[in-house]
Amino acid sequence: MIRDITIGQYFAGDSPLHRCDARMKLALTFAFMIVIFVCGNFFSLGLIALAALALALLSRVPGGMLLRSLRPIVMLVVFTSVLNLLYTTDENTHALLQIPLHFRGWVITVTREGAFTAIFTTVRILCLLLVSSLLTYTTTPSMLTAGLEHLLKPLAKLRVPVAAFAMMMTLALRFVPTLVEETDRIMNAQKSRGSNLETGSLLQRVKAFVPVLVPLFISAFRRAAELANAMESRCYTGTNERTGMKQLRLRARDYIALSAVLLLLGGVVTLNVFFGKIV
Amino acid sequence: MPSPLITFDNVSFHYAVEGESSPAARALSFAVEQGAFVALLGRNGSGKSTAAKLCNGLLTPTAGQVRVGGLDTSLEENLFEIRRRVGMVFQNPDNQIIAAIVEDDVAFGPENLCVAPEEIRRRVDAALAEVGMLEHRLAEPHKLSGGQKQRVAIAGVLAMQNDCIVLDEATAMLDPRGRHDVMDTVLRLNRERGITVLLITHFMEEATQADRVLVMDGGSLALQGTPAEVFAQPEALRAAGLELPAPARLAEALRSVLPSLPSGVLTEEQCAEAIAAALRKGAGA
Ligand SMILES: Nc1ncnc2c1ncn2[C@@H]1O[C@H](COP(=O)(O)OP(=O)(O)O)[C@@H](O)[C@H]1O
Ligand SMILES: [Mg+2]
Repeated sequence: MIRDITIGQYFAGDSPLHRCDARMKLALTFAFMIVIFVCGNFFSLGLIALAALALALLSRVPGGMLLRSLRPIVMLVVFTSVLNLLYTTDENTHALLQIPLHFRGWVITVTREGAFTAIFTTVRILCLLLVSSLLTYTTTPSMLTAGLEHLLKPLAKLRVPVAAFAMMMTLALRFVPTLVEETDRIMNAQKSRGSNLETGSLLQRVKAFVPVLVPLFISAFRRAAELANAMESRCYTGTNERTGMKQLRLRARDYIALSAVLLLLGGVVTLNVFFGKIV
Repeated sequence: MPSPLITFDNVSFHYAVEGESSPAARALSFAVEQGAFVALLGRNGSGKSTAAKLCNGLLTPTAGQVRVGGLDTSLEENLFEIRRRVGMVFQNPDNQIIAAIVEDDVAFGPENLCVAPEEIRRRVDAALAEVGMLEHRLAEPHKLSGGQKQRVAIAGVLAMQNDCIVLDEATAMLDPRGRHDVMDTVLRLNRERGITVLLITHFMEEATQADRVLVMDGGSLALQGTPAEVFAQPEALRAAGLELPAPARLAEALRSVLPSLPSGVLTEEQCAEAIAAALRKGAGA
């Protein structure tokens, strides 16, 4: 189950999304997230959802992989939907459904507003996650960090160590799969010695996890020391100028993507104005 | 007479600055000539990794001097050039690959050297082709086998256009197939490209292919010479905690029944021929 973590996973491909410039993708993903929160009625919400699905199709990432990246938040979505459904009640709401509980006269009331909020939240969260996983699926980690480094470059003038930060991100992305594998291995080792990681009270489970964390940390520190040696051996000093094999270049398709997102924003705002905001 | 690329001049090294630490290297003196293939053998803890790290200034000698192409490793300003010339491949393939995509990792060194982007691309492709990993250039390192990862690490060194590769037990964590692929690559680079190789290993079979063998024990040099010279001294090797290569051990064991078997039998082919010759001689007598 721990192997399901898909942060920073890249899906090799050659789709239009893959070929866009990383800086543009980063900026547009951010813009898309804003648009997701701007939309205020079902028409604009539908437009957003269609746009997100269109992007998913355009990326040619297999649906199974996309679903897998959505899986970790299913619980969160269900939970917030239920809360929204049940707790959106005040004098201006319209009851849709009333379920009398034969206990002290309690009644579960599902209101129209509650249902709307639930649908909105669900679609928004799913779109948010879909768009951000599309970013990592279609951008190699090195391009992602290079793009981020470029976008943050102005901060270097304020003495923010942008290059070092980008290197940290590169290494973090590189070592996520390695450490995940290692955690799995240590967990299995501890389980085979009879430790119980899956049942018991929360406190018991936290305690059972300590023998997993200690070896994990020790090995991570050893790795870090060896990695530092390997990097220094290859002339990395942490302070010197570096070049990049892959140069970022804005091309026509990047401007097309920019226009598409601007169009989407325009569409959402128009629909908001036209049909009014309900959320 | 080829000029020495790496010279150790009476080098000693202590890990702890104070306290009763025994030295991890004591009075080491040797040279690795340009274009040579030198194997460094020794049991665990004999100071092999320490010697490797002294080669490119990851460690600097407590006493004595290490020079690479005439540059002293203890001077900070020489380190960049020294590390450009002497590349390292370490034991654990997972802890030396820096990027999440093979070709980006190979590009890491040249990027640090501020090579122009198009030139880096050319070098990366050439280096990956050289080690037979070009078709995996877009792979994620954690999905490769150990031998493939080590060949990527070698490509990362080659892309820096260095003169010398130091491999610190680079085959120790590999299966026989991976070990064979890595050794093949290293031998070819030495023979065809003239790259100097310092191969640290505890597989005796790998050392038989070297031009020269150094044996370390307790931080000092116990033996050195050609493979034939070194492996003709089984007692001295055993004192240093090492065994003869398997063919030589077999020849030694057979000598009680086939007294005419020569010593200094190193490879399987030599061993087979020597046994056949001894048998013919026995049958003829
Ligand atoms: N970082 C370190 N700190 C202290 N002692 C060390 C360190 N690394 C190695 N040593 C000691 O130095 C000696 C030589 O180690 P090393 O060079 O790693 O040997 P080898 O590579 O031949 O196994 C050993 O006794 C080891 O315990
Ligand atoms: Mg070692």
